[in-house]
Amino acid sequence: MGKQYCSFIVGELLVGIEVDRVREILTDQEVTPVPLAPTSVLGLLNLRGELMTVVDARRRLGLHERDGDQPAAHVIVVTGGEALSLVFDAEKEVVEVDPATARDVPEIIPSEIRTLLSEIYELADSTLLLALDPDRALSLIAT
Amino acid sequence: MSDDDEIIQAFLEESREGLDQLELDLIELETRPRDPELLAQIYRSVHSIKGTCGFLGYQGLEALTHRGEDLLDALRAGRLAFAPAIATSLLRLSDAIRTFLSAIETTGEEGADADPAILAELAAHLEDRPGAAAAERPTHEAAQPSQDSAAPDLRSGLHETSIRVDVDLLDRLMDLVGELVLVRGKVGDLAAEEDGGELVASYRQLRRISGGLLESVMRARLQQVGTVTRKFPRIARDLAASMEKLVSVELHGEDVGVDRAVNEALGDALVHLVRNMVDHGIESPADRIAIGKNPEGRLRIAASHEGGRVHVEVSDDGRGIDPERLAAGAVSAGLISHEEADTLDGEGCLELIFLPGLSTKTSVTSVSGRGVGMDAVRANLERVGGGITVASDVGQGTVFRIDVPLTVAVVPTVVVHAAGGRYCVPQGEVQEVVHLGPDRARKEVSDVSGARLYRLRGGLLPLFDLAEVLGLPRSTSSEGITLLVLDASGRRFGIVVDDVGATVEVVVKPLTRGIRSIPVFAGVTIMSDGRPALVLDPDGLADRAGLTTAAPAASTEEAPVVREAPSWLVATGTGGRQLAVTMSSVWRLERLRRDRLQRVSQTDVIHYGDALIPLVRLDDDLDLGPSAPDDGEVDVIICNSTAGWIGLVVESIEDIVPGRLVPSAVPGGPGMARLELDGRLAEPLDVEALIAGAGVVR
Repeated sequence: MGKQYCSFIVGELLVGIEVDRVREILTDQEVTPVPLAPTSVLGLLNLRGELMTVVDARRRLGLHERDGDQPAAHVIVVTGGEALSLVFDAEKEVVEVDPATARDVPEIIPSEIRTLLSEIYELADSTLLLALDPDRALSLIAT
Repeated sequence: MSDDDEIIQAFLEESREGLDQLELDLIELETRPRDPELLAQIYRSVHSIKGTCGFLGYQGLEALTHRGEDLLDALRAGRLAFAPAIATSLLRLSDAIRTFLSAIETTGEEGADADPAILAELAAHLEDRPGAAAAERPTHEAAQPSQDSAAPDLRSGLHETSIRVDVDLLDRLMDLVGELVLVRGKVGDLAAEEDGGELVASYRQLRRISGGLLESVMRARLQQVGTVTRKFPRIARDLAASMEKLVSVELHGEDVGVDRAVNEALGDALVHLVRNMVDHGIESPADRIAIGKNPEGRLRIAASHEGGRVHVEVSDDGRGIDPERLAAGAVSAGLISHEEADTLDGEGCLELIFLPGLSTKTSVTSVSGRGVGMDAVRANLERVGGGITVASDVGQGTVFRIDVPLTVAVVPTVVVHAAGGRYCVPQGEVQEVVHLGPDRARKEVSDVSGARLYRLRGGLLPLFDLAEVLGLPRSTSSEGITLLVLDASGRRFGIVVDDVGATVEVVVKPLTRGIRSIPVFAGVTIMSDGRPALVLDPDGLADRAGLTTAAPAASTEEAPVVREAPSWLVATGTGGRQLAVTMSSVWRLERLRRDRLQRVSQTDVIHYGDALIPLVRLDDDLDLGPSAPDDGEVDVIICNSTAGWIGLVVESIEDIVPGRLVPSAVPGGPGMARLELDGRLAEPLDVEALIAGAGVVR
């Protein structure tokens, strides 16, 4: 039985988060900016009465800025008992991978990305799926 | 619901719970008739009902419980031997009390007096006639209760049931009720536009129902204080062991109920306090023996509730806090000046413990660091609407008194707009909202080296741009200035905003991950349009804006407590001399055209309202001379003191900085004010003396 990942586009990258870790995926949410917040924090989201911090995956991965009106995929992930939204550029399909083919994250990948990844898979069409560890991706934000 | 209603409601609930326990205990007593603890507990149950109903003025009920108390007292003291008939009588007493409670609940009055039979029955036991006929007759009656008295009994038994509710669900309920209250406000606005009509009536109904719902949800959120206090005996013991001390913790009032969010804040505060007490307060066993104390230190955490507030007293029997050492510490840390320290009494000195950056302990320990964070403890409690004070006896111990609200109430806030964002300011900290048109703004707001000051009724109020404090681009508007006058624990200041909206009632929720440590925000709320809005924390704003001083209090208002170094207005006098005037004596800063100055018998004066104010020029020798005739404009610092008014003519006004007096290097010379900001030296001016020298014109 393979491992299932929800995959997302961010910049040029294809990033995967384990299906079990994704609570839901939403598009086009209104985000209220929070002044003085860490740079990777886009703001606050009211998701049906639940307030959560919105984190920009681009900024978190050290990629270049998102265009203002670019559509965004909000991936709701629960970490440390609290739901957060991690924003990617676009949602792609769910992919199934064989855990046996997981590769270590090569040193050549910039450290700001590398430290947030758990492993890498090469998909059938030879694109790379970067398996993101959501806890780590959201942990560096001061609590 | 009025306060009285709330108190009565609380009394009814507590009493019923007490009776439930009493009945269980009475049954238990039949198997353990001589258990002193059990007897004491039964006695307390009755006693506490008696105490409260005496307070509420229910005389009939008080008389009844008093009789029960007498009987229990005799049992407790061993003057009377327990007999099953006594338990039966006491159960009947419980029934009679319930009848009273039902009457109070439905009619608000206690109704008929207590049944004389039960009073007689209780008294009969005390007459020391076991098996007396008087005692048997009512017992017999009790065995065949009427339909009327049996019914409520059965119902109360069913009401005892409770269910476990998920905490998230409770939070969600609170959120929804919060949103409902917001919408209610909106509907209220609509109803207000309509004169009478059905909408108004419906709105009233909505208001009543939502009010009841809010209160019920808040009640559902109550949690026992014990859920946080019960961990402290263990925490203190472990901490003490790591420091080779002996500490025991005594808990009281664990069953006091408080909103779970408030309880959490309480828990955080207690962790700090208990750590500090074990670390700094309690002496080592050897030291304690040497001064005749028990080698084991004692901590006591006692909770009680009164009206809508919960009080928690945390005390130790340790070395206490020496107010003089505390003051000396504050002076050496530069938090207050010697002069200010001298004006403080013992109580005032102890208050210093809540200043940021103060340490009472010379050594730093891994446990509580540098006398850590009493300012944070106070701030966190204030965040939930609470407060903390301290009292201490050197050598005897210290007691911290915490006071928090029972529930997180819906907080009224003022909505403001700045740099495209919307923020809520707790109304309690907003003193006034001011809009200045372009003309008034020019006249009443002075710019002193980038620092803006607003002249508010004789005081100078520092102004900050909210957008700027939040690190956002400041919007430029020619339409004048809108500002909120805020009071952050004695620090008064104004924040300039783009627009002030309505006052809305909101439920403040904790900040979410990643933004929790931004000190300018107290929390976040969901507005009626569903979008979040951040709630500002005036204390945090003042800190971030770098407001170090208590602004001079306006006119007749009492002066704020001095919490920081005093600030000085620094100016360059004619001849380039650096001069400083304490901000507390500065009234206004004026740039005056020469032709407004008038010469009256060798003195320049200006008309200022109804008064003539003498002007002095401060030249090289600090001689008081008439200002030199010159063209153009002059900067004048208008000062006032009890002695009168004076205008100081200066070359330029430089800055406002905190500073404190340091002794002059020149023996006999004037004192020098050292300005801490950059180590510059400036000469402090004695405004009183200048006024005296210039002749007072009032």
